[in-house]
Amino acid sequence: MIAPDASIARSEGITSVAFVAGVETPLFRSRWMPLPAGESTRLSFAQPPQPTPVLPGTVVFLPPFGDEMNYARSTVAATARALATRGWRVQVTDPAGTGDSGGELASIQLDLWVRDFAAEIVAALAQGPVVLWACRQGALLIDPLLQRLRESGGLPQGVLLWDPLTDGARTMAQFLRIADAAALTGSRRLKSAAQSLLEDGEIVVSGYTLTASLHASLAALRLTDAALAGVPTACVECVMPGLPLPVARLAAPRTVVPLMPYWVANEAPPSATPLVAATVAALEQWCT
Amino acid sequence: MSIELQVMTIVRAVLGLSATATPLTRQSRLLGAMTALDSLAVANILGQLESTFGFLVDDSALSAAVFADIDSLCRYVEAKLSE
Repeated sequence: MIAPDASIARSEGITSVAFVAGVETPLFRSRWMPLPAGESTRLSFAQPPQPTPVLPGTVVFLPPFGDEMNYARSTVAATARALATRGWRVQVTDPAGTGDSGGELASIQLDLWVRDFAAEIVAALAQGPVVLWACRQGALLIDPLLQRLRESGGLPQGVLLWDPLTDGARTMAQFLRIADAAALTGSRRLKSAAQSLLEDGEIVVSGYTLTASLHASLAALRLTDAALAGVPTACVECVMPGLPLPVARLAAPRTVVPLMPYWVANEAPPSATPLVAATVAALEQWCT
Repeated sequence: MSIELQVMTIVRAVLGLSATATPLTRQSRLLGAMTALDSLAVANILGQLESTFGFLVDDSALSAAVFADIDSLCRYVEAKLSE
């Protein structure tokens, strides 16, 4: 039995859930674990009671932004559980100021997220192989993260991208569109989202207070083949049945899964089964 | 698959509509008729249209008329593809 909810650790700091399956006693226990690099109050993750003999490695999840993470969460959790049953340790963390983690998004700088994730990855690398699993906008964190990890001398065994977004400017334009679309659906807005950012220094979109500073940092992010040099990478992309394949933005091999988009679903999330299969296949080529 | 069917597929996916419970036609009303069509859904539909058809939406040129019904949304996509 995999019961990740039991290991959710809540505090003023970052909330992270680890999905780990023990071989004989697959129960979760969690404890706070200080990070080696200074952010000890921000990050926690669960530890299994015993090291898992067949542990192939740790998967560190890099999440989507905003409502996409809310919609994707159940699919991500289902996949993490499936990976855990195969021996992987999967860490799903809410960046500071988002989800169940502490802090206010309005006070967050991008560098904090990069620093926190880098520290989490370095800590995991000390225990064995690590694979980064980035979903949607999480893929945009790969470049600054790999830059930081290259400086520290440790790289992941691979990078798995789920429906990656590779252009920060376009991604943020789509996020701000939620605010502008309110005018279409009847809400009265005096300013465009871009005007609000420029004149007020921040904007509230779907309950998220996005500062001009964080917006600018996120919009400047890109994911390119050059950024991934030397790190095995694979993409898994969902395509709605009947729709054409989106243009590939990266040279990495991609597996296409016929599935409704799990990050926009308004109703019950789709079965993650085909995603899980593609994800397991991608990860097991790097760590077995 | 025709543009019309692709647009309907995207609208169904974003709004969580089943083909049997909520059949769509070119005349199906959207804004004001589909309660699930809020600002997030509008943004998600536009994002899916961008990734599916490969065009960029000009947000400053958007109007509610684009989301009046399936027909107006299809005509918007057709116009973008012919630019």
